Order: sequence, then structure tokens, then C-alpha cells
Amino acid sequence: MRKMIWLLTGCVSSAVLLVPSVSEAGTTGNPEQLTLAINWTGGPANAVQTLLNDYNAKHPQVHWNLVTNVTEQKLLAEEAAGNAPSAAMLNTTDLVAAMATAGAIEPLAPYIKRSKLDMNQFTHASLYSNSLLGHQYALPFFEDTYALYYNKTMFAKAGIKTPPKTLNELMADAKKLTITGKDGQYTQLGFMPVLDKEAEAYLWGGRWATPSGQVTATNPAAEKGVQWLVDVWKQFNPNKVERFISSTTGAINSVDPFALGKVAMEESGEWFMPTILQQSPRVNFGVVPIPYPDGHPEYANLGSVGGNPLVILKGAKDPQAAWNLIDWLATTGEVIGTQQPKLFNEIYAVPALKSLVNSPKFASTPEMAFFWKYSEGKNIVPFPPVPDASAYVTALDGAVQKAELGTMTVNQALQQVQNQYAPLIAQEIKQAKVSKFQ
Amino acid sequence: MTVKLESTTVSNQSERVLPRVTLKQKRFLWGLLFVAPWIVGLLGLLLYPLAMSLYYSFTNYNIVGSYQFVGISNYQELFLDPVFRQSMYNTLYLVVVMVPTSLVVSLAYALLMNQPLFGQRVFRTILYLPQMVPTVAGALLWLWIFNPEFGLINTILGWFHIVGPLWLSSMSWSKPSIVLMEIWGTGGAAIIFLAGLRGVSQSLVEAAQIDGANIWHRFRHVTLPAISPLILFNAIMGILGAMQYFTQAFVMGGGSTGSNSVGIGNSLEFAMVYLYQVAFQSLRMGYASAIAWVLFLVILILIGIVLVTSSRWVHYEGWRR
Repeated sequence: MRKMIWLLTGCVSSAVLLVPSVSEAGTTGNPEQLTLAINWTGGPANAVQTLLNDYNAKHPQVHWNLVTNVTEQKLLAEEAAGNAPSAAMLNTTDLVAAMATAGAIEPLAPYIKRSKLDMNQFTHASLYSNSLLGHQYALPFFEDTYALYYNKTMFAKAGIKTPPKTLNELMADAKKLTITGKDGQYTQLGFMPVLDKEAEAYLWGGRWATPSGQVTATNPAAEKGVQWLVDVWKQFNPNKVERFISSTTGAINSVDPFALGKVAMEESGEWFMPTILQQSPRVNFGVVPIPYPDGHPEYANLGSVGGNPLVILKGAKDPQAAWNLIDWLATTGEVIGTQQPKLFNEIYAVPALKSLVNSPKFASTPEMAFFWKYSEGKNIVPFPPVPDASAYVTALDGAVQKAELGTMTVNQALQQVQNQYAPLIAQEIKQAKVSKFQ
Repeated sequence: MTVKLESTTVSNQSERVLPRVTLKQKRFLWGLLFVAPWIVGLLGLLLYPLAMSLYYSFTNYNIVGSYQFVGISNYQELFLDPVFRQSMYNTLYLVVVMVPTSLVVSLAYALLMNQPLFGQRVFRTILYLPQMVPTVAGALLWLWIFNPEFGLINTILGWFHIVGPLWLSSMSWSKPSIVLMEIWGTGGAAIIFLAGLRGVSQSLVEAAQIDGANIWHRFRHVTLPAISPLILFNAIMGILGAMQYFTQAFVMGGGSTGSNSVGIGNSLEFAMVYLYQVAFQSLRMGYASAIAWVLFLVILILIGIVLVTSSRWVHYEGWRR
């Protein structure tokens, strides 16, 4: 009798415990509840919500809930606590390789193989930035590409007819367009000597790492690029330049000297356009490729790229459903997001699909069409997807600043970074090869 | 007689339930029960994480993955890491420059507030107000004040035809800028000093005055020894704060804007800022734990030095060596 009671109790308990999981799996008619975490907030997050609503309507077996303002740090903490969302959109490609090495995100190869997703439809740079040693760990969503903004009115006033194509032309124009005030300080700067994502290395075709992940901070081409930038600072006096640009810490700052008509040329991304239009709608600007070294047209149309990787987190509740979503967002979702003006005005970025970047008719403005097309170029390079990329780029940033301010030579600065990060990243790659790719 | 019988019965019953438990042991157990929440907190939220962080400092650990034991290699790497060395230099700069400066200024504030002046309460409130400003809001405010182009300080200097420094945009001025900002927020320490000044025995001050001591001698030989325990307290709190300096540097140095070095040329890269970057940008929890332990040892040594030397300069009323 006692055994019977135990058996009955066990059956009832099992039934009670099983009911929610069956229900969650969607077999009883209720859609499976899953979570997509993103770092975006406000308008861009609303645009993603609209896309999710569309996806949920077309896929009744699942219901994706959006959680916004989730940083990568928060994601990792949730993952460590065993409470990871199924899918996420990261805010930077710099963390993809680090998260892949740490085992925080799933490799996508099995899913790509099963779904037969055509990877050739994505731009090369966007795929590269979302990989580790050639293995895909994220799908690209929208990207950011950088080019040279120039103020047409200031150019006309200085008698310059066309924007610069080469670095010598850039320097000549920069000098003509720089104005010094009575106090000896600059009141107008011809060229803001800052290149995002340490793109100065790409000027002479240098790279911060090889495709196999070997750190190459001291490669001669990269050093030549950094030296060029440091020389620009020297020519314009680092203290005076720093004083001038310290009024803003970046193009997304509330006061941008380019938008205010105080800088004639500035390298920035496509996302900078709304800032200019908002701060100073009358600024007559154009966008052209970043100038290349004289006599080296092979390095023309160079620049950097970054983006918003879509990943499946380790421990995802339903990895296959997560794949289905990120696959849809990276392809169909991106097409919808690009072609609906209301959504695109919130996202305002460069698509990663070749079919879109080559369709200027879908771009909201000619300048946006330029960025789209520009992002596909062979000289558009993301920061290399190596473990510790985020720390490596931070170290490069600090080292290049020291060289610009003259506290170190370019070689000393880069050598210091090389000495620190080459063995570290080599070690992590070695471990990743042993644990993941053997 | 009846009462006696009942008490014997109760006593017998309790002996049956809790045999051999003396009243002292019972009290001890009750005591343990009452402090149990604290013990759980101490073990679970302090000692366990402390022990684990020590263990992780000898491993290659990245939050989500498994960890490998790597011996002392994290510590060896630390001493070769130029950013860590710079971050320790920056941090010790705060300890050496910011802590004494803040102590002197807050003591000066307290001495001023201790004077019987008109509007004394208003001054006290004004001096304490910065303590009420949220840290990030204060940092953003000072970011504007320090702006070399249109900031408050350089604008005022400009009226006198002085070209102000680059402040946070200069490698040599960024740390003094932080010190200046922290002086603004010394109202809390000043209030503690003020409380101490109010407690200085007036009879001693008067006795010194009768003996011919001038104002400086009265301050040096009566007031200062009387408030020396508070100087010790504020010094220790200041060292702890300087060694763990993070938020203002992170916000003002541009750490929150992505993969940028904090402060121009890493000049605001303090130890805690670097620890955060290593832990949450590089996901190297093992290495970050090693930084935390080195930082902990440095704090321990500094506080130890202050406490050991304090026996020479701290005077407790009614206390004899």
C-alpha cells in the first residue's frame, strides 16, 4: 500500500513538473517564449521590436521577447548564472572572437550547413569581423563604415574645387582650410586628425593581425600609417590640435566641430549624418573615400568597418530557434529594415547583404548609397577578429596617442603593444585551436 | 510544594529533549541563530568570493568557460604589463598627491566653518553639497568645467589673457584635474573634522593661551593632537578611496565610449579601471583577480604603514602607551 502511495505521488509530481515544459515547447498550442537581448535602446530598439513582431506573426510556434539595453557584460553575467537569453545582438564586433574563445557563443557552422544559408550574400568584411580563425560565430546585422566627410561651403570659400583623393592633397587642403585666431589657437581646423578603429594602419595596406590571428602591430606598413598620422599632429602642433578637438570627444558628442562648421574634413561613419543634420541642417557636406597614399592607388577606397553581430549564446534555451531568428534577421529582417523608411531612419546603418549595398535605389540619400557601396570594397577592413581584440585596440589607442603627443616614438609605442599582446593572443589562439577546432 | 513539583517535571522534559545542553551552550546556540544571517552573508558573500578570487588568480578563467590552473603566470605577467605598471603609478599618484591635499583642504574648510561667523550654516551646507551630487553627474559637470575651449576655468583665465591648460586633454594635467575635482568634494571629511574641532577641550586651549601660546602654537600643539584620530580616519578612508578610484576616471577619461584608452595616453587608467577592462572587456577574470589581489596587498601595506606610524602622531584622550 505504502509503495502504491509513493508511486502515485511520483506520477503526480512528474506530471505537474512536465506540464510547463510541454507547454513551453509549444506542443500544446502556446508559442515557445524566447528572448532576444540587444544593447540598443530608444528608436533603434523600437525598429528591432517591429522586426520581431513581424517574425513572431510569421512564426506562431515561437514568441520572441525583446530585452533592450543589455551590455555584453550583463549577457555574460546572465550566462554564468545559467539564465542566458537564447539570442543576442552585440554592440561591437571586437568581442566576437573573445566570446567565441571563452565559449560564450555557439559556433554557427552546423546551423549554416543544415540551413544551407548562402554566406556569399554577405559582404566579406562583415563576415570576417564575425569569425574566429575562419569559423563563423556570428551573423552580421547592420554595419558601420567610415569615409571622409568634407564641408563643401568651406572648400568653395578656400577656392578648392574638389575633395582630396590622395594624402598629399589632403594635407595641402588641410593647411589651406586651417585658420589661426589672434591668440594663436586654431579657430578652424582643415582636417580632424583622428581615424576610427585605428584605421591609420590600413593607409599603406597594413593590418593589425594576420588572418591566422598573429599580432602584427609593428609591421612596417601599419607603422608607416601611424607615422603619417603622428606627422599630421606634429605639423599642426599637438597641443593646439588637442585644445581644438577637446571641445568634443567624438562625433556622437552633442557638440561636433564638423557640424558647427569648424572642421572642414573629418573621418566618420554613416551614423554621423543624422547628427550633422540635427545640429546644423544647413551644413553643405559631401562624403568621399578616405584618401590613399600618393602613387598607391591600390590602397584607394580604404577604411574600417564594425557592426552588430547576431549570436546564439551558450546555454540558449532553444539554439535551433535562435538560429532561425538570427538567420531571418540577417537576411529578411535586414531587407525589411532597409526598405521601410520608418525602420531605416531609426537603424540608419549599412546593410551587410551584397544585394542591398549594390542597390542605391533603396538608400535614403546619395550619401547613404555611397556608404553602402563603399562598405563592400576590398580595402575596407574590420579590426582583426582575434581574442582580446577589445583590449588590443584599447592598447593601440593609448599607444598611438602617446606617439601623437610625442611622449614615445611610433616604433616604441607599437613595439610595447606588440610585446604585450602578441604572446597573449597567440596563447589564446593556441588554446582555442586545441579546445574548439581539433 | 506544588510549584516545586511542576518545575521538576518541566526540567525533566527539557532534559529529555535537549540532553546535556547547558544554559551557556543554549545561549551560545541562540546567539548563533541570531547572527546566522550575518554569518551566511560573511561566508557566502565575502569569504567564499574572496577565496575564489584568490583561486581564480592562479587560473585562466573567463566567467562562462572552464578554468585552467596556470600557477603564478598571471602574477608574472602583471609585472611585465606596461598598462598595469602605468595604472599603478596613476593610482599611487592619487594616494601621494590627492589624499594629503584633500586632508589639508578639508581641515582648512573645517577650521573656517568653526569660526563664529555670520551665515556659518549656509557655508556648511554649500561645502557639503558636492557630497549630495551623484558621482556620474559630478563627473559630467567637471567635464564641462575642464573643457579647454569653453570650460568655466579656462573662460575665467581667458578674461585675464591667460591661456589655460588642456586639463583632461593633457597627459600632464589630467591627474591634477582629478585632484582638483576631488578637493571640491571634501565636504564630508570637513564635517568630520568640524565635529572633532567642536570636541577640542576649551580649557586646554585657554591654558595654552595663558601660557603665552600664539594661534599657531595652539593649533599645532593642542588642536591638531586632539583631532589626530580623525586625521587618521580620514587618511585611511582617503587611501582606500584613491586605491579604488574608478567612476569619475572612467566617465571623464572616455572609458564608457568603447575601446578607448582611459584618459589621454592612458593617463587616467587607474588600477580599478584597468581591472574592469581586463575583466569585462577582455573577459580575463583570472588576470583581473590577480590585479585585485595585488591591489589588495598594496592597500594592506599602505594602511599598515599609516597605522604603524600613527602611534607617533595620533593621540587618544585618556589613552596611555
